[in-house]
Amino acid sequence: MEREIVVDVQNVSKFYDNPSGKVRVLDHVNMRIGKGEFAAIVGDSGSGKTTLLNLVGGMDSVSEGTIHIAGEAISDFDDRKRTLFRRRQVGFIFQDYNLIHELTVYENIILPLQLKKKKIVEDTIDEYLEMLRLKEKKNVFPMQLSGGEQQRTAVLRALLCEPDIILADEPTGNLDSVNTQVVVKLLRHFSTSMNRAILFVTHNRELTKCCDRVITVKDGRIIGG
Amino acid sequence: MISVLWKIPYRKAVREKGRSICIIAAVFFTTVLFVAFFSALFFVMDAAEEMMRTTSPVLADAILPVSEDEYERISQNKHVSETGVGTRFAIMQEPSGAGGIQLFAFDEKMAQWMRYYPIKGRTPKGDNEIVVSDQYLKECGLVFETGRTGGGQIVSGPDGTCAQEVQESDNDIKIQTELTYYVEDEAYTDTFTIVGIYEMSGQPLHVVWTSDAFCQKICRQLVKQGKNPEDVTYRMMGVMFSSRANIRRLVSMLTAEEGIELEEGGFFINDFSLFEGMGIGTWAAFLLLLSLIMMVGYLFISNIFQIFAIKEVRFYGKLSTGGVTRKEIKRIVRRGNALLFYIAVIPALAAGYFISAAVLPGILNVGTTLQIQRSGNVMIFVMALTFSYLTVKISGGKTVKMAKNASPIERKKHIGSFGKVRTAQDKDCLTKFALRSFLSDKTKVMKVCVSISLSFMLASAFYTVAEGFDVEEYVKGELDADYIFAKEPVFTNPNLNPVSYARVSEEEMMRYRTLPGIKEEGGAAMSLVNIRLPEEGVERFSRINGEYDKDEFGSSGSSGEAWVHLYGLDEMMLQKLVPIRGEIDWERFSSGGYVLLNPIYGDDNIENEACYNPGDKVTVHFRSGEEGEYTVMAIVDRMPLSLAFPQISLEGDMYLPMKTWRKMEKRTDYYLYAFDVEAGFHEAWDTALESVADALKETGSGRTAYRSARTEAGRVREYTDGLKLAGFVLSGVLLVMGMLNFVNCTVSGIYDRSKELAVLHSMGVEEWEIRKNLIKEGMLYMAGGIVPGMVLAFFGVYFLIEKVLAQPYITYHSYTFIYVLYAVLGCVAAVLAPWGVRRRMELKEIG
Repeated sequence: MEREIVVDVQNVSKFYDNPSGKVRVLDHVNMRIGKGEFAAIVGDSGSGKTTLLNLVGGMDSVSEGTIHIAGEAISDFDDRKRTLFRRRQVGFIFQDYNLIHELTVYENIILPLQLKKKKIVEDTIDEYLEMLRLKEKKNVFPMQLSGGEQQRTAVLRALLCEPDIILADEPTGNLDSVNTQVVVKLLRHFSTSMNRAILFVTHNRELTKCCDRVITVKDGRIIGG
Repeated sequence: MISVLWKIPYRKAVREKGRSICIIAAVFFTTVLFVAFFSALFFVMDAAEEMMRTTSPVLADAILPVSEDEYERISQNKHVSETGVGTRFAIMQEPSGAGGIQLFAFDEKMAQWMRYYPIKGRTPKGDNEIVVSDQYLKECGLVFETGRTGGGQIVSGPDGTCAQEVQESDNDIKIQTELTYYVEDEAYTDTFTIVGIYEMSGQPLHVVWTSDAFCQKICRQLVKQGKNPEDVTYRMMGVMFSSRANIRRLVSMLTAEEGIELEEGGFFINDFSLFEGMGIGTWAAFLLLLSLIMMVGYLFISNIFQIFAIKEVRFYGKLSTGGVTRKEIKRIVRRGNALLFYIAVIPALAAGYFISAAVLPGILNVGTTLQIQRSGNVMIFVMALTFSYLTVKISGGKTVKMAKNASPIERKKHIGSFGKVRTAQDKDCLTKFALRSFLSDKTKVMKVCVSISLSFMLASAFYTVAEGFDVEEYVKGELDADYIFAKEPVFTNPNLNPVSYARVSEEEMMRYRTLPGIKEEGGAAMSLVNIRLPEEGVERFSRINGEYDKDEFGSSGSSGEAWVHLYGLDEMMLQKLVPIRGEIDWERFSSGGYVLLNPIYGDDNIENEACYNPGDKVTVHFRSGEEGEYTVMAIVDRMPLSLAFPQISLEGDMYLPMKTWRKMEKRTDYYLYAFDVEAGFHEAWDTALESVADALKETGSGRTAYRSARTEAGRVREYTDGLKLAGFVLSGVLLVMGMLNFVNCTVSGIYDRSKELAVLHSMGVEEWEIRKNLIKEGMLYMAGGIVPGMVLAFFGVYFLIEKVLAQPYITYHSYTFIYVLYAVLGCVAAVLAPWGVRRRMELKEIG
């Protein structure tokens, strides 16, 4: 079935200036991700996976090429527009969770909803908390959670505001095998049930077995997927 | 410690220049503050001690009565650095008849210490050469005028014993005079040559200084008469100790070592130490101020330490992983802190002193009669160094603790505990983020808020007190006449000798009577007279002040003799006396035959009991030898302080009309004279007064000083201005410290949460929203500091003025501008600090 394209990366390059000269991190990359697609980006360290993710998520600007997300050319956005874009259309999950330590689990989760001025439906949130075995930890601060619990909170934070795309950078990098499986299944489930594109970066090739597509990046180029 | 570890603090100091510079600056600033505080303290103390020294009747450390043998032994004692000696061998009467003059032979050192060294002429060397006081000359009817040339004029004193011949040269005095003196009740008359004049200015004794040769001559006469000169003469010794640490203790040690017994009251100790005179209140104020400065320094330094400690926790965790013990980590941190401390403190001590020496005397001299100058007291540096070191040590305590407790396993974020939290669905999470960040480290918050609160309270208190001070009202209460004249010791020496003090003459007052606009005038004279207290009076005195020593004054049956101050007052002065018991009929009182009396002086005399009651008769033995009996008309309150003689009689002072007093004492001098002047003439008086006083000074009459409403008001205004300045400086320092701490907290908070702020940014929170949130935090700091400060100041200052000070000349007003000023400053800081930090972070990223 033809999926509606939600991420369209065309001929994108990214390079950084260095005292020793320009460093090309991404080199004429082309990629398309459809709605509801669960894709993994794999590659060795320094291959440009995270850079690609950051560009797609509007965290950084392209040096060359264009990126369209849900029809909007984010590569032309200035910093402010990219920020608003991230607020409206992107959910991020980081390797080291990046929860706000001054906010409780519940508050971390509803923060993006408040930023988007979306209605907070308590029952829905409680349902998800129950599903992720975080109900008892609702009013607890991140410092008091285990790694797995923190990552589940981060996942929920990214998903609940129903962004167009969800980007996860090594979401299981700091988790044990059990929690890894839990998180990946969760992402898969949300991708299917919410029909959202999920793009995640991983070293772990085992995790790619449940993905719809595996994109391999090497030396700044996409060589597979 | 392993040597590699030793290198860490030094390399960190060099590599982390930003951190090192911040800490050095903080220590530098705190040390300068301490130096300024201790400089002010020691400048004032040195000036006060110098003033005490110069106004002291005697300059030696101690004056002791000794025999010849004792003198020799004490001179050899290891505690003694210098000695002088004087021998009294005869007495004579003052030309005015008011009191006695003692004939002394001094060595030059003793004469200087006792203040008998001549200001004109020279010391006595030949047999019959003497040095006399300017007061003696005046009482002889002689006035020594500088620059007078030509022949002489023979003038006789009251008893016909003085003659004068004035020489040409200023400094060469040679006045022939006859003196009748008494050696053990036997009268002798000799012709002497006055070769020097000393200034009478509060010395304990009125003295004629003879040559040692003359004293020896008298002693030989005594020996010929079969008498022992040691029994007739009185030798006293002046002593200067090698150390000035505790004169009383040194005198005790000296007398114990030399086996000398001193009778109570028979010796004099010149203890200039200010510390002995400091009461609990003064000590409390001193310690409070010192604590304030330490707290200010602590606020400043500890925050800077903590900013960097948070970042270094991982580093110390790594050391711990590598096997470095907690004790070793503690030593590394302490050494690093100490290194930066010593780099900062040496230049700070120097800079602090130079700034203090340049600025402080000018500020401190406002509103004080002390002549404050810079002093190089080494204790300034010792104390400043000690307290600065203590402050740094205390400030670094928490950092040391954090470092040594850094876990080798986890990267623990030091953000404090949150306690219980209730999650409310409808509250903005960003606002909660700001609030909880603000509350995350209560200690930091307290430091900022307390500093700002204190600053506001101090500024409000000082300004309100200074502005609410009614100078005119205060001066009205201080001075009881527009212009009050006396010799300077009457105003400045609380221990003025009631017999031999410098007096003001009618001739001197003539000059002032020529000034325009006099509304009223009058003088006060005083003499020490002998009365006999009745048994009831003795009983009352004993009840109030303890056992009355009848034996001291000689006993006559059951009553005791007393020496009391007897005032002779002109009408203007008499009108100042307020009756407590009995009524004053001024017409009858002026006719003579009546006396007014004070109550017995004592804190427990709440019933105002006196040695006599109205209607009682009292017999007065005047110094002139006259005797009079008077009826006590009324018991009156004390003479107003500004007009009273510096000393009082515990038995109660007595008051006669001036006419009666002069008739009985056969004197026409005053200790004080006062004028009330019509409004509109004060300026003319003030202008004229300085030139008149200078002219009087030149004639050798000594310094005539005056107090006026204008000069007092000027002095008080200077004082209140100084108070305002001091208040603003202090509160300004606290405010700067509070603001700097706030900036530190903001900087550390933002950098510490830079990752979280980046996460928010990644979630789509715009930069202006982040800054708005940070400003909210800033506003919480400012509100936490300014609001309690305002509330406490509002009630506290009112309480201070109305209940604590409770003086009629200080009234409470509320000054809104201080509140507005602080509110504006707070808002500006709350906005600018986070904005500036974020901007700087942005620029760094762009860079």
